[in-house]
Amino acid sequence: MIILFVAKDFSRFALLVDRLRRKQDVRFMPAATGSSGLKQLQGMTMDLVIVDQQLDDMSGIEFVQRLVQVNPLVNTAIVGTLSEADFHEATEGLGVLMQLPPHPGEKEAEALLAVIEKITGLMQVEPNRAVAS
Amino acid sequence: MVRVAIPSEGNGGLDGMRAGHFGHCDVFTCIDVENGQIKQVSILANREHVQGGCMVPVNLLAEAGVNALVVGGIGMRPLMGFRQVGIEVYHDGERAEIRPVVEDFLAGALQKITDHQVCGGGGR
Repeated sequence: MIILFVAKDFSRFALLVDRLRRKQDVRFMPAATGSSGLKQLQGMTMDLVIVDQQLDDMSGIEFVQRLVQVNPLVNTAIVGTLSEADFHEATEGLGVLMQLPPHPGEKEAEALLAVIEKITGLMQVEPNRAVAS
Repeated sequence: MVRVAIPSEGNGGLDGMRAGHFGHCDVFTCIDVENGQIKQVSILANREHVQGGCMVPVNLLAEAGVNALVVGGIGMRPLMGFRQVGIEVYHDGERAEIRPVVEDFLAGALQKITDHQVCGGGGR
């Protein structure tokens, strides 16, 4: 699993990263700014992008708005403090997996892994059996 | 041949009703069109909708050989996903019935959706 981590300061995410690293074959790619993260995403297959609430050059939500234009297949999670309703309103249509708290820990890592596993399972389609007449 | 999919409620079918948002539909009514004529109508069950799982129906329709989709609403991420897999997305935000929308598709009277017509934070 390749995870692009876009944040100015990675220290707040130590617990989250430690738990994700316990999963086999997890590879982290760091990016300190939105523009460098978007550059890394072009033509690259990623499983997950985690982006901080505010970067030097754009907000996390602005980053995801640009990301879906470049690489819509990649899953995303955004750090933030919006209410559930405001988060839904701000990210509707962007297909964000979840909002992470400013200091995410093991619980959030488990939730991320669970939803990615769920989506991966739903993506499996039996060849030649997709359309039932 | 063109296979056009219509997000549908219930059991779908040409005489069925459209679903307002493609990701939450029960089934996709798939119409195979050749030389402007309907050759076959089939039903494709949608998958469970989960938060962030926009690419599930994109993948499902691509694997089913769908080339075109008519929606009443769609988010920016799935729209870009459909474009990436080569499925053209058309828009009709008015009519609830499937048949008149299919007839307009056959007549070439439906417009492709634009980036400004997407739902939510990705577009407006």
